[in-house]
Amino acid sequence: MGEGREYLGEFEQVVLLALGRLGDGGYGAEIHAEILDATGRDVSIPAVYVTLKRLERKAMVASSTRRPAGGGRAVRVYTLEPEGTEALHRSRELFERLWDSPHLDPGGAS
Amino acid sequence: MARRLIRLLVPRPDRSFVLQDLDERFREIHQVRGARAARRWYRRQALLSLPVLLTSLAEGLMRGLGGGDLRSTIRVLLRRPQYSGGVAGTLALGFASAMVLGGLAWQVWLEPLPLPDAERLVHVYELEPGDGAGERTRFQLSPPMLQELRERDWRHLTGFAGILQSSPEWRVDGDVRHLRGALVSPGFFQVLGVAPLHGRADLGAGDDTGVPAAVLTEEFWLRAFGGDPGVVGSTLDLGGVAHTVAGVVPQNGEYPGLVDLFTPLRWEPHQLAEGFRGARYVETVGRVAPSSTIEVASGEISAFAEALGDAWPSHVGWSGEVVSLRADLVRPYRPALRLLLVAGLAFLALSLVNVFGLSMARALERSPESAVRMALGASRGRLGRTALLEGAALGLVGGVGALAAAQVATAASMRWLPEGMPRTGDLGLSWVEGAIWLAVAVTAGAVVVALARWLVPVAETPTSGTRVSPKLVGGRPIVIGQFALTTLLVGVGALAWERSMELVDRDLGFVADGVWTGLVALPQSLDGGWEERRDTWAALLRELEDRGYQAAISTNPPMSGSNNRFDYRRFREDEQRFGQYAIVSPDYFDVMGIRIVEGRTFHPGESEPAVIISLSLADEVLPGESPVGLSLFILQEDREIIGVAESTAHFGPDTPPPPMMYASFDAENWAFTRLVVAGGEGALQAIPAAVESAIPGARPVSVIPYRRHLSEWFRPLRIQLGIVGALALIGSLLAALGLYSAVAFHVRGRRTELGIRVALGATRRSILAVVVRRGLVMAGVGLSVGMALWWSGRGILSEALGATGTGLSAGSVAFTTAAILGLALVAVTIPARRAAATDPLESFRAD
Repeated sequence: MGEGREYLGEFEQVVLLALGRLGDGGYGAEIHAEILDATGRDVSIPAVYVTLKRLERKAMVASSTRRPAGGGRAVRVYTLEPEGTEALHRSRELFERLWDSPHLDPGGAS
Repeated sequence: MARRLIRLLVPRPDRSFVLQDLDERFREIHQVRGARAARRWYRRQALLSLPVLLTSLAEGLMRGLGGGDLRSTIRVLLRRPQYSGGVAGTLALGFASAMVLGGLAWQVWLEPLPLPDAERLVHVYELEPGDGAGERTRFQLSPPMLQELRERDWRHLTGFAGILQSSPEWRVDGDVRHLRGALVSPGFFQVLGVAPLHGRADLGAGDDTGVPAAVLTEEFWLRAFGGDPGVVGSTLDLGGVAHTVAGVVPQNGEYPGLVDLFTPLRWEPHQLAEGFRGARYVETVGRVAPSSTIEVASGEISAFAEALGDAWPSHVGWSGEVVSLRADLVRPYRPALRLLLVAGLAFLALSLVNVFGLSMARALERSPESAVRMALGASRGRLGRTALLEGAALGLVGGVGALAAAQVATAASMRWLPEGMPRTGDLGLSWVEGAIWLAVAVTAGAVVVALARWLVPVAETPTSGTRVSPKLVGGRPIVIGQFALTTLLVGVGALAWERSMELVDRDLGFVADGVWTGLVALPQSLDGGWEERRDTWAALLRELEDRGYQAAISTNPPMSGSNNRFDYRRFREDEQRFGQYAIVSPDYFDVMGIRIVEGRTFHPGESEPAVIISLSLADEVLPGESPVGLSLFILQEDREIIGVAESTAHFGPDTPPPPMMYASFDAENWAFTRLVVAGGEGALQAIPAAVESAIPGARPVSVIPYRRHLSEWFRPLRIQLGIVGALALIGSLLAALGLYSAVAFHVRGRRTELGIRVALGATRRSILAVVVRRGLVMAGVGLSVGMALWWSGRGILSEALGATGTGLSAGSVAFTTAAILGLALVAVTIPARRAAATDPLESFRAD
C-alpha cells in the first residue's frame, strides 16, 4: 500500500471490471450477469453488493437510486469513478510487472 | 429459508435491492431452467454469501465500536479455536434457549392480543355451587343468562357477546364446501373493537328482506373471492339458507382463532326459556369499562349471578366471574409456559456465567502476553478495548448461531405443540426482535469477556505468570449448582417417563384396538322427532351389519373429548350428584369391549327409561348393594337399573372413572352421535358408504381408528417428555461447559504448582488423576445435591406431573448417576490432559 494507495483484491477487480464493461454503470443483477457472461463464474449477488459498498467507501464507485421512467422497481445503480479506473490500472501494472519474468513463461527456463 | 438467511444478514440500506436482484435472477433461471434449478441456484447464493456477509457484519460492528483492529482480533480468536468455539457455542446455546423458550412463553402467554385495548377483554363464566373449600368449576353461560347480560345496563362492563363454533356448508356452483364458521351475537365485533375492512361488521340487521348477514374474514375473502370488494352485498348459500355478505373483517389468527366467516347467533324462544338455564355452553366475551378493572367487573357479575338464585332454582348457589381473555386462552398451558420462561432465562444466565468462567481462564493464560503489550506502550484502556472487541466478535458469532438455531427449533416446535393450542399461529422472531437479540448477544459477549479480563491482574513482568492466583468468582458453587439442576432435570425426565409408561399400561375399562369411529349428524330434514331419529339410527346400524360390521352408537364414548354431564340422585329427595351420560345402542358394550358385570345390556327396541350404570356410579351411590332392579332418580325421573358395566377411563387414564349412566337409544336419542364399528381397515370406506346409503343428505363422516383418541390424549405427555428431555439436554451441555471452564481455570492458575510436582517426580498419570478427581468431586457434589433436591421435592414433582411414583427407582438413579458422571468426565478430560502435559521448565521460566 505504498504512497497511501490501495491495491485491489481479486473480487474487487472482477466487480470493477464488470462495472466498467457495462459503460453507463449498472445494478447488482446486471453486474452479476456481466461477470457470469464474461467469466462463467456464478458469483453471489449479496457478495457483489458488499464489495460495491466497500469500493464506494474508497470512492472508487458511486451509487444512486434510480426508478425506471416506465415504472418498475427502484434499483441502486453503481458507476465507476476515476479513482476506480485508476486503481484497476494500477493493479494491472503491478501484475504485468510481476508476470514479466522468463521463469513464468510456459516454455521458459525453470 | 435461504431468502430468510440473506434477509437476516444483509444490512437494511441494501436489503431490498439485494433481495429484488436475487428475485429477478431467480425468475430468469426459473423461466429458462425450471423451478428446481432456480431453487438450487438460490440456495447456492445463500451459501456463497454467508462468509462474506458475516465478515461484513463484523467489520461494520467493529467500525461502530471505534475502529479496533478487526483482523488482529479475529487472528487472536482463531489461534484458540477451543476457547473461541466454547464461548461462542455457550452464548449460542444460552441465547437460543432464551429466544425459543422465553419467546414461546412471551408470545403465547404474555404478549397482548392483537386487538384494540385488548387487556380489557374478558371471558365471562358461571361458577358452580361450592362448599367454600377448593376452586369452583367454571361453566360457560346458558343462552338465557347471556341474553340477560346483553340486555342489562352495567356499570363496569360495556358489552357482551356470545360465540359458538359452527361448520357451515357453503353451496357454490353445484359444489358443497365445508367452512370454519362462528356463530356470534350481534355486536361481537364492537366488543372486540374490530373495524371492518369493507362493508359493515354488523350481523344484527341482515338486509331489508330479513335475510341474515354474514361477515367474511380477510383470509377467506382473499382465498375464495380473490379480494373482490364487490362481494359485499352479494348472497351466499350456507346450508340452504341465503346470507347477505355484510362486510369483511381482518383476521388476527389468535382470537377467535381461524375462522372463515361469522353468522348471527340467534335463539329460538324455547332456548331462552327456563329449561335452558342449565344448558351452560355459550362462550361469552365481554369488555371492561375504561374507568374500571377486571376485579371490580368480576364483582359486579358475581353479585348479579348470585341474585339469579332467588328467581331460578337452577341458579341457586351459583356465582359468576370475569377473567382476562388473554390469560384465559392459555390457562391450561400456563404451568408449562411458566416453566419454559424460567428455564429459558435460567439457561441464558448460566451460559453467561460459563462464558465468564471460560474468559477468566483465558485471561489468566494471556496474562504474560498482556504484560508484553503494556511494556510496549499499550494502555490498560487499549487492552480493555481489545477485550471488548473480542467479546463483541464472539457475541456476534454466538448471536448469529443462536438465531439460526432458534429458527430451526421454532420450526420444529410448531410440530410438537398441542393441536388447538391458542396463539401459536405465528410463532418465531420478527426481524426487529432478531436484531435486538443479536445486539444483546454482542453486548453481553463484550461486557462479560471484558469484565473477566479486567478482574484478572496483568503479570508484573512479561515473563512472569500472575503472582496472585485470582479466584474464579463463585466458580465452584455455580458448577455444583449446574450439576444439581441437571440432575434434577434428568430426574424429572425419569419421573415423566415412568408416569407415561404406567399410564400406557393402565386398564381403561374398554378396548380401542380394532374399533373405528366417526361423528354422524342427521340433516335437518330428518330431525323431525325422536321416533324418526331412532328409525334412522337403526337403519344405519342395520346397513353396517349387512356389510359385515358389528356397529353401535354412543353420544359420549370414552376419551373422545365429549363431556355430557348429568345430575342424578339416589331418590328424589337425596342430594344432587353429577356424572356422565351416554345414549347407546345395545351392541355398544360388545363393540367397545366394556364388560357387563351384572344384569344385562339393552334389548333391541327397549324403550322403557331403564339404565345401565357403571361400577363407579354403583360404588358411589349404592355401595355394597346389588344395584340391578333398584331405581335412581336421573334427569328428573325414576329409572330402573337393568345392568352394571365396567367403569371406563372417560377422561383418560389419569382421572378416576366418573359415574356413568347409559340410556337406550330406543328410549331417547339425539340428532348427532358417534358411531363405533368393530372391524378391519375396510371400515374406513364402509362407514361413509353405509352412512350415505342409510341417511340421505348426511354429511360425510370422517372415520378414524379409535386408537387415535388415545394417542391424542397421550400427546401432551409426549410433549412434556420432549420438553423435559430438551431442558435436560441443554442443562447438561451448560453444566459440562461450566465444569470445563472451572477446571481449565483451576489448571491454568496452578501451572507453577503442577510444574513443581512434575519436577519432583509426579507422573503424568498422577497429575491427570488429581485434575480429573477435582472435576468429578464437583460433579459428584452437584449430583448429590440434585438427588437430595429430587428426593425432598419428590412429592411436589409427582403432583405437578400427576404421577403416582417418585421416579426414584434403582434404574433411574443408576442411569442419572452414570449420565452425570460420564458427562463430567468428558468435560474435565481436555483441561486434565493439558495439566498432565505441563512442562516444568516452562512453568519455572514463567515464574
